[in-house]
Amino acid sequence: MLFTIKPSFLKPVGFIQTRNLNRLYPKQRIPKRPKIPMGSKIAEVTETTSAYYNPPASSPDVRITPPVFRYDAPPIHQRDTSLSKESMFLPPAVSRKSKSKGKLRFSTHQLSSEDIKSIQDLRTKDPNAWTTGTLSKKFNTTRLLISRVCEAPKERIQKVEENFEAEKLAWGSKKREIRRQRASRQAFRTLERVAQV
Amino acid sequence: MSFISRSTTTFRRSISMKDYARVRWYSNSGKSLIENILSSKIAISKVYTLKKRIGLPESYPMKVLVQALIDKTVVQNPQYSNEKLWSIGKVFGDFYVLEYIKCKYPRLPEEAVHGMQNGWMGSKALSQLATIWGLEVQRREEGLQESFGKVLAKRADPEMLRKPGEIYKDEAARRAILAILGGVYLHQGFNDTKKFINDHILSKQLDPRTMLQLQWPRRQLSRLCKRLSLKEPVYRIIAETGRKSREPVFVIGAYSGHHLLGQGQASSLNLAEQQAAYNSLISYYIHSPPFRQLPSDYLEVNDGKIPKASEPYTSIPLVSHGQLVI
Repeated sequence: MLFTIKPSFLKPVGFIQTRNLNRLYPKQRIPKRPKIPMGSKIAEVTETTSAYYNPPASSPDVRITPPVFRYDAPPIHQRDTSLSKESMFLPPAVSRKSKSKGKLRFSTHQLSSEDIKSIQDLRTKDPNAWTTGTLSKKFNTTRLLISRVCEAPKERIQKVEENFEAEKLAWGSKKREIRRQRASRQAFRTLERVAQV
Repeated sequence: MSFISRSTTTFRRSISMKDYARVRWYSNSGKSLIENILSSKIAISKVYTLKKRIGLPESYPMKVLVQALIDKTVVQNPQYSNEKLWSIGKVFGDFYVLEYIKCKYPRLPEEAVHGMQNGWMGSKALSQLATIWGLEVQRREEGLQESFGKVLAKRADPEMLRKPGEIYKDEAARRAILAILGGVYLHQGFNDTKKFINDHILSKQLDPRTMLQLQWPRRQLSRLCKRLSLKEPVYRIIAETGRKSREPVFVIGAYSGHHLLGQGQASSLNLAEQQAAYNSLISYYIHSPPFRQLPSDYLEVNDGKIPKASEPYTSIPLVSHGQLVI
């Protein structure tokens, strides 16, 4: 007999009242413009008035081939290479963001032999002024490449190490531990010694 | 439910087995399947209606048309099926359609050429054409005599797994159409076959732009200009409005020197540049130079004699200056 009882009877559903909202005519609606009656004059047209055809702008058609791409385009030696009058009135080019000149992560070009010689000369002359950072900014390369091209002289390296040792005395225990861990990771990572700057 | 479905499947298979036996009996008996169809009045009226609807002349033999509608999967003997006719139609159709594509769009890449050929001569395209003609393919549960006048084809049951070489409705319709084309070639000649292809197959409009898929338009445009010995393309702002608003509009043109290659319009500079490069490439690849006649027009034969051409043969300008030739 329990099967005949409906579940809706056992679980009565509460009534949810829906608020009667004014959807047809909201308060903040934009008022409608009154309709223009039929037969009313909109503009005066006289005999002297002339109509102009001014279609809206549209995208250029792909099916129209530019003259340079046509099958009968002139070959390269017959092409007009000189700048004509039209080139002076060309629209402006799209500007690109300038490349960052410092701290490059990759080299944008190969160093020539002249560049290598100039790097070596500058670094040998004044190692304090021409560091790897300064040279990398000047020649648009990475500091790693600069360090491989020319190492600093021994006096410079010794001086930097002395300064570093002096700084170490002021370190706390936390910083010492961090540095120790970093050194151990570095030892595992690289077996080759990179010049210290 | 499973019991009912099983019995239905068994019943269905028994029908197909009977039909298959009947078909083989027809092929081995003195009276062939073609003659049986020709003797049926309803089938003859259907086939004749199809003949008139397609536009075939009165001299086209009814036997060939009836044979073209019998698929090779129904009758094992090629003497009574459309196997030979289909082969002839396929070769000629591919030849003429490819020639037309190559002459009209000589710069179209191979993938686009194959796409267009498939759009005209593929299974789905010809199946749609068959539907337009009023051709019907034999249904799975339909008996053999009931389907006289339709395309007779053996079809696999849906319960079975798909296997290589399975028969589909589209394939059967395609073979039937190509068989009819082969019959036109055999009995009417070269010119009527080309007219048939122009009227029924090439009359379908295909846009070559939909066949091209350019993923890196700016890079490809740069390579194209390099190949054609043009200057590196520069993108210039032709017009713009609302740069500092939410939806600006930029019109950018791709210039090679002072030559405008194409324009693009979008709501950002990057997209507009891509659109300009894309439009430039599209206008290059779908360029169709004018040509007077197809090369196959010189193969026309009148009464067994090759006529003298009214004009000397002029090759179609397929390659422009600076393009690579292998």
